Formats: sequence, structure tokens, C-alpha cells
Amino acid sequence: VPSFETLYQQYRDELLRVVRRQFGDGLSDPEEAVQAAFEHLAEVSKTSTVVNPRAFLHRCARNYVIDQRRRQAVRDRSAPELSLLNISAPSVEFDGQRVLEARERLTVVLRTVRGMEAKRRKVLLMHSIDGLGFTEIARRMGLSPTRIMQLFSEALLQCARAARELDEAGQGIADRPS
Amino acid sequence: MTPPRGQDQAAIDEEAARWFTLRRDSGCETLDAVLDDAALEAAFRAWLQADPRHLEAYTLMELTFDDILWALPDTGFDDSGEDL
Repeated sequence: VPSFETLYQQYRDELLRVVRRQFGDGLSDPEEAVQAAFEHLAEVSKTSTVVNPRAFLHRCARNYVIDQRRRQAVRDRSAPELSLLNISAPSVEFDGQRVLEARERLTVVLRTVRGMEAKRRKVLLMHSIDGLGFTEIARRMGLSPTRIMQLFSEALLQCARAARELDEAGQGIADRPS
Repeated sequence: MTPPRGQDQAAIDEEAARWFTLRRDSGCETLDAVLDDAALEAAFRAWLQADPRHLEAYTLMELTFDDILWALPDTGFDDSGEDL
């Protein structure tokens, strides 16, 4: 089991990069989201073994940002004048394009996974959300590890193709003279 | 301008997805697997260097996997509510 320090060194920069990529610099402090994820990992590690720390950290950071965003939405509704003072306002403008792109990509990925063949989807969810290894998934589903890896590979490919199509559609629009 | 993507791109993407999957499986099983890992990594490096499009496709797989981690609701898909 790798030590907490090792995990921090291994995943901190990556996590920060992914938070920025998904939500831009301003929506919520990316450093804060990463910090919260590692704190949660440290907390959970006291009582249980985290099988897949990488997936765990990503889920934590993601949930933290979504939670912050929900709170922000509540604040904005109850006191709209405060949102003008909030740091998120200028950064949304600054990073708006990136955030929109990320949202579009995530929507496409979500739609693709929803429409996926059931077995393929199950393997994808077990590996990415539950953080289970292919051997463990094979045991639970009563299939060979090779078959599980094939299903995972197909699931990833299906999502990647959907992302490519979105990317190409976007470039098509950008290529048009304004 | 993007060059037209044909069957070539589809085949490269498929290979990239397989490499991504293979590399995620490595390093967590037995001692034998550690030895296999070195060979696997060498083969992977060779594949990456064989064509610049391989790196592009592999990067897409990494980014897509991040997107999957971030897009999916914790609850799975049993309920009708979308999380994002």
C-alpha cells in the first residue's frame, strides 16, 4: 500500500490539472478541491483500504466542486447582488469557453454511457466509479478477465469516438468565417 | 482544417483503447506481473513512437477516461435524476 505522501506526489498535479480542465480556474478554487480530496482520502484510509486511490481522489474532487457549485447557486438565488462581488463572476467570463466545452463533453460522455450496451456499461461503472480491478470484476460477473478488459476497452472507445465527433463538429463551426 | 479521418483513425483509436486498458491492468497482481510489466511498457513505448497519431489517440483515451470519472453520477443509472 503506497503511503499518503507518495499518493500526494503522484496525483496532486494531475488532479489539479483535471479540476482546471473540467471547471476552469475560477468556479471554485481548484487547489481547495484537490486539498479536500486528499483530506477525505486520509480520513477514509484510517478505517479502510482504498482499493483505487486515483479513482477515489477524482470522485472526491468532483463531488467537492459540484457541492460548491450548488451552494453558489443557492447563494446567488437568495442574494443576487452578492454574486457581483464574488470572485467567480469575472473568472466565469474569463474561463467561460473552457467550462462550456467541458460541460458539453461531459454531457456527451454521460449520454454515451447511458446508451451503452448493459454489460459494457456495467464493466465501465465498476472500474471507474467503484474502482475495481479487472480481475475482481471478472470474478463478480463470472466472465474471464480478458473478456472484461475487452468490454472496458470497447466502452472507452465508444466514449472517445463520441468526444471526437463533438470535437470535429465544434471545429467545423469555428472554421466558418464570422 | 482537419485532415479527413478514415478507417485508419478508427483502427488507431481501437489500438489506443486497448493499450490504455492493458496498462491499467498492470502492476497490481503477482510478482510475475511485474516482470511482464517491463515488457509491456517497452512494447507500449515502441507503439507510441511508431506514429505521431498514436500519441494523439492515446492522449484522447486518457482525457476521455478523466471525463468518464467526472461525468458519471455516484449513484449509477438506476434513478432518473441526472447529476450533471
